[in-house]
Amino acid sequence: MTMNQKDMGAVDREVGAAMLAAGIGSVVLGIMIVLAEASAKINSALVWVKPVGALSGKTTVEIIAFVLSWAVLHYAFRGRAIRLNTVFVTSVVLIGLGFLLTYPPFFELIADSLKPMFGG
Amino acid sequence: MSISDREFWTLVHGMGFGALYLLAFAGGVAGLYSLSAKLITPEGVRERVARLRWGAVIMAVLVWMTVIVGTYVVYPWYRHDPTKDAGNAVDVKVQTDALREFPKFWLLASEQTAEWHNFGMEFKEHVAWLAPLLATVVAFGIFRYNGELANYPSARRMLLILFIISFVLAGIAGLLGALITKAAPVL
Repeated sequence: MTMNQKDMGAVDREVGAAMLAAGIGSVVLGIMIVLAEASAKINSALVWVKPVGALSGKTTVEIIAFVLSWAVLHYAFRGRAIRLNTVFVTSVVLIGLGFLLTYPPFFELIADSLKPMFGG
Repeated sequence: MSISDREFWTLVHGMGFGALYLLAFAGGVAGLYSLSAKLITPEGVRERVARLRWGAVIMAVLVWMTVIVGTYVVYPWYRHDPTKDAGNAVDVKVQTDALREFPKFWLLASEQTAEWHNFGMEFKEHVAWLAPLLATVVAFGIFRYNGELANYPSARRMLLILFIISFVLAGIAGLLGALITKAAPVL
């Protein structure tokens, strides 16, 4: 059952990659929410399943970002020394940002400021 | 005493998968918190880790099922636009009995209920989708660290924090869902 330090380091890297991927997925969802609110064109483009509306595209992009970044980070972290604490704190900050961007008064505020960029 | 298909699936989403996830959280957090080599024997660690692994996977599956059923089964009924139906003469500006079949539009038809959708559902439908990512990471971490979690308090603490965040996010979505269903049930 006991792992040596080298094996523990490897597990730390794998788990760290997963944590950071969750943070990235969260922020990507937040960005999709803001963009869909700011631009009717982007909102339409995210309607991947008609009865569900743009939520289908936003959440699918989130999952793709989560899975892809997990895979990339898993390989990027291999053989490198990482500080799990630092990765964890970064992940929590990203998750916090993603959470903020799901909060309607916040995402509407940011979307309103971006609307002129999209011709709104 | 009968329920429609739509009410059945709303129950499956909220009281089935969703409530089970929130209830199982208590056991999961107690299991993770108390998994310390200082408190239990090696035999105890093996027994508890086996349970934690199963529990974490089941919880991750539950929260994924909650958001998938909610988004792809219940949400289309909630948001269906009656003006897109040919021959449907329902007035979307007045809260009539006929409009009750279209919960989103029923809520939007009155200033007194509009925020249930504009704030409540807009928040719930998005925040819920953060919980499965965290539950998946927690399950993965428990599997990869396995029994070593008992000797690695900092990793255990990190997984516990992510687990609690996942619960809070799911709890927000669940609470909003319960309140919105009370205001405008999917009939």
